[in-house]
Amino acid sequence: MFWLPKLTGGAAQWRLPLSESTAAAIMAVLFPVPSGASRETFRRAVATDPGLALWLACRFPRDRIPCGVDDLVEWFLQDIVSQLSWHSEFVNPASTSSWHSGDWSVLTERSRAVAQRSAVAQRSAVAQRSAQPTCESQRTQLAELIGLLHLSPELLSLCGPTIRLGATDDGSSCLPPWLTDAIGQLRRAESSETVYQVVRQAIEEFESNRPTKGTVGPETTTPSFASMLPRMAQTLARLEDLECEFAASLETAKLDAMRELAYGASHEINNPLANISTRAQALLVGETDPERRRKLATINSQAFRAHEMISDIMLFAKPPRIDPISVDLVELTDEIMSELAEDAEEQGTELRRELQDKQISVLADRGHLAVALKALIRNSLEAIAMGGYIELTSRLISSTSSSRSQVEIVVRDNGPGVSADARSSMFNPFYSGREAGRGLGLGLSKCWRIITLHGGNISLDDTYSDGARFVICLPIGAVHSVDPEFAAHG
Amino acid sequence: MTTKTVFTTGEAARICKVSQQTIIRCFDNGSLKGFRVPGSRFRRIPRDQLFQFMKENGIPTDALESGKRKILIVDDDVELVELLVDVFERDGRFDIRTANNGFDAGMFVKEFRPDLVVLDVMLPDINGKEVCQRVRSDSTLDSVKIICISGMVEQDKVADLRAAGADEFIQKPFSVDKLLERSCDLLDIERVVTT
Repeated sequence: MFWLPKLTGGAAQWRLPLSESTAAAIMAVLFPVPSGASRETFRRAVATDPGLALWLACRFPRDRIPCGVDDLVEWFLQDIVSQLSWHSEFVNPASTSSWHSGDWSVLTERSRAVAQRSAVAQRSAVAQRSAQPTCESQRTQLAELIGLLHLSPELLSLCGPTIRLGATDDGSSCLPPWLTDAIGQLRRAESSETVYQVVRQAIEEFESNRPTKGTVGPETTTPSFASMLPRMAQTLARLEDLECEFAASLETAKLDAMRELAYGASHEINNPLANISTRAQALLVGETDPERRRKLATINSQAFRAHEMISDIMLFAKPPRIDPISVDLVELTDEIMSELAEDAEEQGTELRRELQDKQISVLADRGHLAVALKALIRNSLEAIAMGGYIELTSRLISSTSSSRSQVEIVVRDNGPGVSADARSSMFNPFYSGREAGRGLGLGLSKCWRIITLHGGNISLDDTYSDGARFVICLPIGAVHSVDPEFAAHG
Repeated sequence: MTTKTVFTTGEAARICKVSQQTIIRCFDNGSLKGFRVPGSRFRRIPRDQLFQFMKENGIPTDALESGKRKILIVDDDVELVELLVDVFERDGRFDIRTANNGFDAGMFVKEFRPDLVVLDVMLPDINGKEVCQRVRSDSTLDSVKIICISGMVEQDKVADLRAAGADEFIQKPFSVDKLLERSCDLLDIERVVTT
């Protein structure tokens, strides 16, 4: 005899039997075939095994009420592996000595029959009243589910401590409140709701044509699917855990490798860079030819550019210390804009700025924040390449709980936007959406890193389609805006 | 006087041990280059020009060189050392020694008693931080200034270096002018006048 994972209510436990056919159906959804037939098999198993339906209903989230078998199935399939956890209970299959297989069969047979009749009756009742189709299918599902579960207390009493309906709920029942309530209404026969009437009729009908007791014999328990299922589920759960762990350790390993590289690179590459740069600077001193002067200056600046790239890798691999001071965001953006003005002009891109508040102070590391914003705007500049515009807006978002005020900085451009492919990995330092040879593309990663270090976040507006729209939210920290309007609202 | 960057004709005459008239004549015929103070006719001779003039005319340069500030350049990159020597030599106010490892650096600090050490942190033997610590542990070397230069980018290590006694840290690659300026500032001498 095999069992589904136990149900608990307070200190009490119930163990519902796991039949061979149910185990096979669960196995089918554990290893689904693409056609969707597995799901159908499983749904059929739920609809015909009141034990399985009851187990699902008891495990279903307490803050929701299932509208039918489909709801139970849907929910279970989302979280199948973690639900199918026997822990150590399956190691020794319970002795079957106290198991009333005959009683169980009779009860489940009746539940199954009532469920089917209820569903059919409800369907025809609704068809006569020509109600809306969606409403019809919902009611049919509900009638089926209530029919299937109408003997829940009796079924559970066979599998653990006796369940008494109407007893004060002391938390020692595993039945969800909605089900207790539904069975109560059904038995008190006072509800005029059609669903209950339909199920009641089905029960009466079943009673009048009661099949001979014991026609459904106990299921033979040759160890097969049912015996394999717990181990299978455990293996799958372990596999899922491993996948998670693997992803996490891969991330760590990647950053570790990056840090190693950055440590090595910072020394090994910066030294020759220093050599190149110093030499170019030395040659510049005696040079009078303007063309040669320009070339030497380029050599020097390119050496510094390579150095900056190494620093960026380091920034990502090993986050820097943040020294927060009160930063005037307006002044800072002014400064950044003017630093980038020349590059923007060269490619004919218009830099716009709109500040809704006259002065915004944030508690931030000024140098790092400048680097982040510059990287973001530079990213737009490079994406646009020629013409177009980049607009920076910043405003305060005062929240109702005044201590959590944030500043929102938006950088919007009318460039080509970010492709769906690139979206998922654009803040990843290992990713470059630009064609090979055009740099490591660390700008956005750098920005992301700095903003998150400040307790903020940066995201790409998915709904914006005229280019790219990046939104940074930054907590303003202990420093508040001096804008009078905000002060009045805040 | 000898750490000055610009000289009057009188000063130049004393350094070269010739008459002021000789200096003026050479200035006027172009063999000693210099400039006139704007708005007046006073002649001024930049240090490097005077040095070049003395070399060309076989005048001993000790007078100009005495009182030079002593500087020790330490880096295992021989080429970079060479370039830095050029830079400081061109300025003309420095007496320069070099070392390519931490051991030599430690030895020269005691022997040569430099005013300033330009120290690469990543040395093949003793690392720069230790060199700093050794210098700082010797009270007779209190006046020695240390500028660390390094390719490393970790903030905490830079903080460690300062704690170990470095007066200044400059990231590699660096601007030569900046290095020279910082050196002058630390030695409390005038920044270079470019001619």
